[in-house]
Amino acid sequence: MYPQLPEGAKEHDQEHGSEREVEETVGCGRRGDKSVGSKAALRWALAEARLRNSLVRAVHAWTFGYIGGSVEGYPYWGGSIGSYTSLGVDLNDLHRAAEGLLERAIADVGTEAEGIEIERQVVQGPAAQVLVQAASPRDLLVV
Amino acid sequence: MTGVPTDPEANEHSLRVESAVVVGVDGSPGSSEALHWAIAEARLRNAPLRAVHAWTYFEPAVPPLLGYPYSAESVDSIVDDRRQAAGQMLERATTELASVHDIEIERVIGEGSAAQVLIDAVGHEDLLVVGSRGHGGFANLLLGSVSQQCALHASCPVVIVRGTKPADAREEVS
Repeated sequence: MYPQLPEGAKEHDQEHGSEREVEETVGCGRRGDKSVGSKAALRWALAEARLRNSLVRAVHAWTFGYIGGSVEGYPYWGGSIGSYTSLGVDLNDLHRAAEGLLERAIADVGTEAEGIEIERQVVQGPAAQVLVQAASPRDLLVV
Repeated sequence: MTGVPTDPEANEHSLRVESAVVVGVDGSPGSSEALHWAIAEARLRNAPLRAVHAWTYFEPAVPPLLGYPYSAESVDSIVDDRRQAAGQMLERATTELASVHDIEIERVIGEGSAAQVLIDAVGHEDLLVVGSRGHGGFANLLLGSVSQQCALHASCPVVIVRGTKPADAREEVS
């Protein structure tokens, strides 16, 4: 894919088979919330993946608000993850909702995704940290 | 717009605006890696490649008691020297690579801060490529100020090439 690269760039060349493009889909915790910017980034990543004959890894990070203590007059909910359920919140539901959001974001770009292998990654955590961890030195991170 | 090559509308668009791959070059190892990346990308996109180098003229500080020892002509000649040196630097950094890769590299030098010159050098349809760190700043900075400014303010997609070599490994650019 990189024709005749000199010494300095050889490593890119050899690793090219494993090259992945990573795309962030920005969600704000609301169902179906997708930014215009992340859609443009997904389109860009797909076009680039087509050029490089590589796969796209679409990454969506989601977080749920802090409920580890007594805040703003609300009672203490306990510090463990298990306490989410005392709010009537099932984390698995939230995770599935996040997966759905990513799926819709991919569906939205329609035919542009045709023929491109897209790996989905939905992770609970801060977006920047999740994205940095999702990309390795040989990847191209698109935001 | 080569950014979305499969979109028929985008192909029509490319008849009007020729998008280029624009790369910032300052002679540092980081910018050399950015240049390699940009060459490969320009080939992939079949797009023209433009190498941009920014230079500035700093007036030498002179103690006030000495008055101002420079005539307009001597300042002009210093400025000319700097401009010429900038052109030569850019030529050194690009000539060999251009022939090795058999690719045409358009050279542009601009006077001003690197970030400003790069941002002004690109249009919406272009792709701007910079190294994550150039000559400036501290060796252990993760992201240089120029790449940061470009990412924030450029009107087109920006690729920040993370160097594979250690940041403190200074070497001559081929």
